[in-house]
Amino acid sequence: MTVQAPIVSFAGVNKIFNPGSAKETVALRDINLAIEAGSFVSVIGPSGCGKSTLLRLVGDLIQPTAGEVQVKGKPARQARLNQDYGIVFQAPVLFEWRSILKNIQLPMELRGTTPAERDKRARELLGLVELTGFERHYPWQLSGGMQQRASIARALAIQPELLLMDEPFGALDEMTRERMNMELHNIWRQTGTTVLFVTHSIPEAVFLSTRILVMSARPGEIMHVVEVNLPVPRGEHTRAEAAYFEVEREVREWLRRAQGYSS
Amino acid sequence: MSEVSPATAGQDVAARHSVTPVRTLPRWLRRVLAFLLVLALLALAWEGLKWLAGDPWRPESNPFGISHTPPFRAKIASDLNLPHLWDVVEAFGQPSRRNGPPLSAVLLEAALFTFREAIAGFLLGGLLGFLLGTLFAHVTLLERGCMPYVVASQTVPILAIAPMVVIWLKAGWISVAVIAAYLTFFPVAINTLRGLRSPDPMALELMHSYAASRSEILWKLRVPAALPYIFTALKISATASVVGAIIGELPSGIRGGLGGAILNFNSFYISGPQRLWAAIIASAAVGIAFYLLVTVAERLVLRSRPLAVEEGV
Amino acid sequence: MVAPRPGVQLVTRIRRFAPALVLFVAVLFLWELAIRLFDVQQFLLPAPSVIAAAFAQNLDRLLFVGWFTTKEALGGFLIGCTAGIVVAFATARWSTMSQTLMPFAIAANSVPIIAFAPIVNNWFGVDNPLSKMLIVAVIVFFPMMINTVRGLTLVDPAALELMRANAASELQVLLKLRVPNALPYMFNAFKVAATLSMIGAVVSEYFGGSRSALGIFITQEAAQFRFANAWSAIIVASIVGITFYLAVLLAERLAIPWHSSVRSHD
Repeated sequence: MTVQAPIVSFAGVNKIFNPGSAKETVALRDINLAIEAGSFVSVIGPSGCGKSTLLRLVGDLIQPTAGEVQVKGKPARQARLNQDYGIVFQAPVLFEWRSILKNIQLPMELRGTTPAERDKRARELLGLVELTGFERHYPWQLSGGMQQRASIARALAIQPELLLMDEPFGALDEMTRERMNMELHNIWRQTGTTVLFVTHSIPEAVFLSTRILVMSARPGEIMHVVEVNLPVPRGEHTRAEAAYFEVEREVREWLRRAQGYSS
Repeated sequence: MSEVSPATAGQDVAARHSVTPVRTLPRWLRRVLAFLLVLALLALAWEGLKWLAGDPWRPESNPFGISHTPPFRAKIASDLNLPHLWDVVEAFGQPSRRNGPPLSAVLLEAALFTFREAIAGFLLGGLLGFLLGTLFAHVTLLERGCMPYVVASQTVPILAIAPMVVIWLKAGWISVAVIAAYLTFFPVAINTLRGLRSPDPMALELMHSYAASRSEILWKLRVPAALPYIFTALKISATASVVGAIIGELPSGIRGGLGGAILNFNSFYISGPQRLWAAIIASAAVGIAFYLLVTVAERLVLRSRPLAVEEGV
Repeated sequence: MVAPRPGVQLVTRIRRFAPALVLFVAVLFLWELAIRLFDVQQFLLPAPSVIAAAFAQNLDRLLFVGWFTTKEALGGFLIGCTAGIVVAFATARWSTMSQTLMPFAIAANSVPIIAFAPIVNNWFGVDNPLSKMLIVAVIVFFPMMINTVRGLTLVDPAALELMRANAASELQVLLKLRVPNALPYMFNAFKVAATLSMIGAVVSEYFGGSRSALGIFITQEAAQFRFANAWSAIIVASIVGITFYLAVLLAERLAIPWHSSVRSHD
């Protein structure tokens, strides 16, 4: 077993919003975690438990009130400035004035990649997310699922080692969602990117992850870690295996306890 | 545009790009103070320009009693073109003609005269516009036939023909009110229509599921939904009504209002530009006051709603 | 999604405007008819045929004065819009500045700027087109500034997060996100400005202007009871205003084809 430095680590992290005021909220309390490179980690928990906050702390989009967040061995801020990760939000957040191809090129433009390279890479990515042929289309011409695929392609544009995803498939219908799960799984296997994935859906978390963090209700803490040892590559068959149901059961059990804390 | 991210998540980012005042005064008060601050800065710039390039300052003609010769000379900063602010303020207290009442009283009367025309037209035009918009919303055939025409009529320069219309109607201030009504009518009609059509189809289905009648749907769903749109139109119309009233007063028949006052004091410019400036300030005040009135009405009527994101003027 | 063939688009568009055109022609016809049949006094509102004749008769003069005033409107439009945009960019950059300036701009936008016409006439001379140009510029400045500031600052917070996540500099956020976001707002302001420019120029001439000006032509002809001439001049002002507005619409179609207001609605 190779001992590698974790790609993401939290040490004693707290996050309090509006400290010292009437609206003070303790979103996260005493978070300690380490995420291995190449793993697929889902974060699941009741509404308002701070899952998205956790994700944004990794991305240095918000800063911890206490404790330290490290990404790739450096402070989260440095990792952000180095464009070390890609991010996918709940909504596609594509710029409506850019074609799909140009939207995907955005991270590369910000980095200063040459136009020729950008074009080549963007076309590759479109192939990866199965959107070839839609280069010149505009976001409003695509369905929700297709837009999300484009936003995933954008997140992978500069080949980051870390991918942050905040309930990316929440707005999609069940069948599209399952299909996207499959595609994401394949992309993960192909690229070897580490994925930190926030979700509401137990089946999704179990299908995709190597590890699931179950969070308690606010103030959010990591209540339980479920190791998902289902074999990779996964597919339709995975959802029918006994081990799959075992893991689902375990996650469901802990989630129920997590809901219990709030009342 | 895509949905807003979860409340807690976007907070830090949003905080950097939106309002984060040090003091926690009510919003309206902050706005008023901001307005006054900019006015003060403008006043400073005004006198500063006169300090640098105006006519010499004589100790007996300024409240500081100082004497000063500006280093440069610019015609625009002369005492004729840019009277000292205190001279303008003083003019308010002086009579505008021999043995007459002080200028402030004269202008107040003129302002009320103009304001009356503007608001009468505004209310009439608003009501008619609302009725037409409601009619169009319910009778699509009428809308299809008349709407493009209604939109195109906005390009008729009513302001350009205002003086002629006023002469033609021969009804004094009522004619001017008609101008204001015209300027209000079309924006309100168009926005009423947009607003009445704005409810989510799902909301309409909800009403149908309660077997709500057409008029119930109108008053309980469509009209409340239309109010923000209508107020947007009303704010624009308020300003337009005041402009229309002043322009409509320009022909010689109507002397009681601000338009007449401006023309009158313009003819006395050489002997003292302060009174013209005073009349213009009075006009500005009427415009702002009317706009504020509509804004306050809007706040009251829409007080329970989340603060709307304004899409533009 | 397949775009309809150009021929089909044209027919649909004609069909949409047909009722209005029919109504317009019908009104003209009825107006002419009413005046002839009932021998209505043509004092202030002459028959369309009379106006048309006056138009043809005065064409040269109308074109001359029309162009004079159009230049005032265009000049004012350019100056006011440029200034509005520049100030907006400076204002949007620092939020304290925008919190201070916006209330003032909104209040100033409700001031009848036209009232300042006598002042600028006295400053630069009644005959000088610059005075009217300045009035138009100020009229147009405030809506332009207000809309541009809103467009630059009312950005989807998720999009801002995305830019941050990609370590974008403030300049990159401005150029790649805020500016494209602001374009629809700016075009709304351009449309308002286009409508206000010609009217502003003509009406400010009512406070006094050069003999070569359209507004002066109107007031003089009206004062001498030659209303057909006055109306034909007003029609010229209308045509210029509409053309200006259509030009902005065309520019909008070219500049922001992606925006929902410009896309064809099915």
